[in-house]
Amino acid sequence: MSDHVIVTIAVPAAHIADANELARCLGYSAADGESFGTAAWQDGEGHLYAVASGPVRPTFVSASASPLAAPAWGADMAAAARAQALVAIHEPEAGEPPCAAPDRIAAVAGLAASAALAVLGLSPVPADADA
Amino acid sequence: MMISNGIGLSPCPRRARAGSPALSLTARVHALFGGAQGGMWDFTDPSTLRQMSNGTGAVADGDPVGWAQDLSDNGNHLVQAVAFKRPGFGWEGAGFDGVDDSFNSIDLFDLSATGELVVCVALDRPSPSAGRIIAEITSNSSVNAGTIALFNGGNASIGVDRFRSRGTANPAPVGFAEPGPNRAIISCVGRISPSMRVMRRNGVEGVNSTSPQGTGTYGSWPLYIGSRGGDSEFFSGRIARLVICGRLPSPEETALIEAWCDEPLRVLP
Repeated sequence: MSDHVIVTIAVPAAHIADANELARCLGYSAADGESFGTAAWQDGEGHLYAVASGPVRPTFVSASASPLAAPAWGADMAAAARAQALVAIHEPEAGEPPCAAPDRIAAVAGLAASAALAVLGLSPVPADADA
Repeated sequence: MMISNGIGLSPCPRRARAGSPALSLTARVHALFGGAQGGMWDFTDPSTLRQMSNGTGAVADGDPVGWAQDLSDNGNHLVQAVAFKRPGFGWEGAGFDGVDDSFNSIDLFDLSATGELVVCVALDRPSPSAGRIIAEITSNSSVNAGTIALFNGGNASIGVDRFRSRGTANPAPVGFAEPGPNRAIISCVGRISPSMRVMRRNGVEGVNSTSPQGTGTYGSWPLYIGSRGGDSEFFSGRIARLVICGRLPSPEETALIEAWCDEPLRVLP
């Protein structure tokens, strides 16, 4: 049985570049600097977010709130620190969940992506083209 | 078999005869390749999967999958280098979250020697309309010649399974007229010229089109599973098994491939 926990993170469009630097610091390789892509999700007021969701080791949650160390593959530590200052993590037993908002990087741990997106108050930006 | 990253994995039987009933389904489907390009992947077998995209880390239930072995011996292993974008392993297949999960081929998926192929997938989705791209060769088959896509819906056809095969011309994708079941074995046979597109769902043929696809072969492009180009149109649900084989199969061979894909889900009548 896996020891991983699913974490879903909503990054406001204005903070995507900084959040990817934070992902480089907390991730396994330089490739994790591409964790947050297109801002394809929106809240009830139309603010846009990039969302990443996936199974991570439990230490990811504590590491995201700990002093950052520069990874071997390098990262913009100032940008990573700016992103870290915006992180608000919700764990299921920890009280009121943080909805996504333009001034925070909201994360939900321990829920499947679909349930986490409901907690975050996000829905996909409608696609307008046939594949 | 020793693969390029030095990991020993289960051997694929070679030179088996596809018609021999004594062979396992896996061996018989493997034998269909017979030198044809393509790949076959079993996302229900953890012995063929690894957590990390460099092919390390055994996989257990709930673990991320960053590497999937191509069982066809063509070396078309699938990877996901970004940790958050890795599908999670389950005994009924790799789970794609509909947010950011996908796989891509390590190298170009080279079908440039052929204008014929068969694609077959076993999937289980939370609803008929969950997700978009199941498999696509190239980052956008709408604009690139010599490509295919197996996908779901579009605004005009929510929940409908559709198939694009194209050479230099891009006829409208073929598809079923009604939304599909949540658990499905979908197979598509494509030939660019003379044009043919046949699509079956759970063993029933839904469309057989000869609308012109232009000329050429399928080309050499990246292969994406579960997304368009790795960053949009994400699939939601589980993919159990997938076959893409660069040759025109007989009806019996198509049925054989469908049977292999169906083994983990058992949805075929």
